[in-house]
Amino acid sequence: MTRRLLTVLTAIAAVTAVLLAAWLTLRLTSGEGEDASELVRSARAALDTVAVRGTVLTTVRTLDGEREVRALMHRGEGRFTMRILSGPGEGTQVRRQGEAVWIEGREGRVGRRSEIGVGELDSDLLARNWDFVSEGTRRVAGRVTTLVRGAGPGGGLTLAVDRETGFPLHISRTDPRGRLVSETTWLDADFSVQPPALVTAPPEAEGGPRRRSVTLAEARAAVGFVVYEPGWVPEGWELHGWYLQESPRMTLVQARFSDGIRPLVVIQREAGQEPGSAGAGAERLGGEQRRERSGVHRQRDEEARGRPRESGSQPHERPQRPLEHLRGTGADASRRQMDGTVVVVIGPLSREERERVLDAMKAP
Amino acid sequence: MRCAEVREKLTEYQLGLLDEAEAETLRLHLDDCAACREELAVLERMDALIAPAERVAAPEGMWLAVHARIKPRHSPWWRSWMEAPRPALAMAAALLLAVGGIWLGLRGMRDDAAYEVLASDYQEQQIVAQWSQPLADDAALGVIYASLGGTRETQ
Repeated sequence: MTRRLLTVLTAIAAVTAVLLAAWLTLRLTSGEGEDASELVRSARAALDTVAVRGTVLTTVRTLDGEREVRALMHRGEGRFTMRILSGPGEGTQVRRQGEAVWIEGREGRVGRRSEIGVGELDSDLLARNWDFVSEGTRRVAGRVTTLVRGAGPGGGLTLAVDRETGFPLHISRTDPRGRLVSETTWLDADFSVQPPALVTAPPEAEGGPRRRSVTLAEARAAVGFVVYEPGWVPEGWELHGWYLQESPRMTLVQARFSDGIRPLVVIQREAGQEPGSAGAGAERLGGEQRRERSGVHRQRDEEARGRPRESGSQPHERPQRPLEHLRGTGADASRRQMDGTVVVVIGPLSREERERVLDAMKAP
Repeated sequence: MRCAEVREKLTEYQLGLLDEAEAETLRLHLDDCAACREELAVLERMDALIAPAERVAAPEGMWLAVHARIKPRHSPWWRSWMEAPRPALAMAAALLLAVGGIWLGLRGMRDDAAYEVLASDYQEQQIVAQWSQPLADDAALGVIYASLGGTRETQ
């Protein structure tokens, strides 16, 4: 009896050992589970250097649910041209060249234009906040890619990095709650093309906003309202810089934080600054449905006021306007008026965290 | 005929319940088989022992009294649920899921209703900030950027 039992146990151990060896071999050969930070860095570089043209399928979570859009994308040398092939913006073209991003309508008419910065990878910040691991291979656009998943303070990021070129043929993001923010997959990709032709970027609109990088002191000196300094942000978020955006209509001061991949922005402006604003209200994205502000929508912040302040922040006795929480595409926001300054926090934080950021704003 | 088959039918044979042909076959076997004859003899002796016993009718109401004294079987509480008809269980589960789904949906709608929408001025700021980050999803940001309306922050 004992002998039979020993035989059975030996057989089980042998089968387990064989299976373990096979699993380890598969993992080692596929690279699954390995640190993929280097792959992420090469993917970032490839976004600037690799020329590619093809069809992409993009899903974005908007205020009205998920929206799926097909587009023709042509990119290379840090610029891109994207023509939307389906959905409400069909026929619209989005272009990027240098630090300018703008929209061209179906008839070639230039619409909105913005100045964007170059998204340099902060390796130290990335290493502190994000863990990237390889999860084997996937076929995307008929090509072999390495799947990379990462998680950080601002949510999750998944890339499918082309084995040959290092270009990410799939990018998806989730918020900290795991909900999809956006997802783009190349359906076909031609890497034999030249980069998109250089074009003359449209001039900034007359009276259009001008954005420049400033220090906090410069921002405070430049505007006529109190500029508060964030006294607390959640762990992992680091200040990337202050920006001043000026236009005849409105002057904004922006503090931008980053977790290495996603931004958290704190915007300040003078309350009631915009001329001719009486009667206008917040509207749905795309102007679909206008909503009146009401007492029901506003959320009083007695609780927030009763909360002890962060050490270092200066408590102020001035009355505060009600705290409001706002929904946005990509990230939600919270807003509060403090004396003559409206402060808006936008980013992938929880409502409580955004509220705490507002609570900890420090007056000069 | 083999002994096993014969012994299976010995009782019927002894009671005269077999047809003539079968009885004849058994008789022929018993003539030649001492063991089966002995088996038959045992049956006949038992019959002789039982025959003098008097048949007594059960008193009236005895079975009702026995039934009343039988202890009811205690089943676990969940057994009655398990014994319910399956379609009823399935319908109850579906109803529960539907009610739960509606409740969650309504709760989500109520949460959303308590939120205003961020004005496009701020949406643009957020998109620009996102675009300035490494590994920006250009296509997704392009779609959102193209969909921004002319709504302005006003308050």
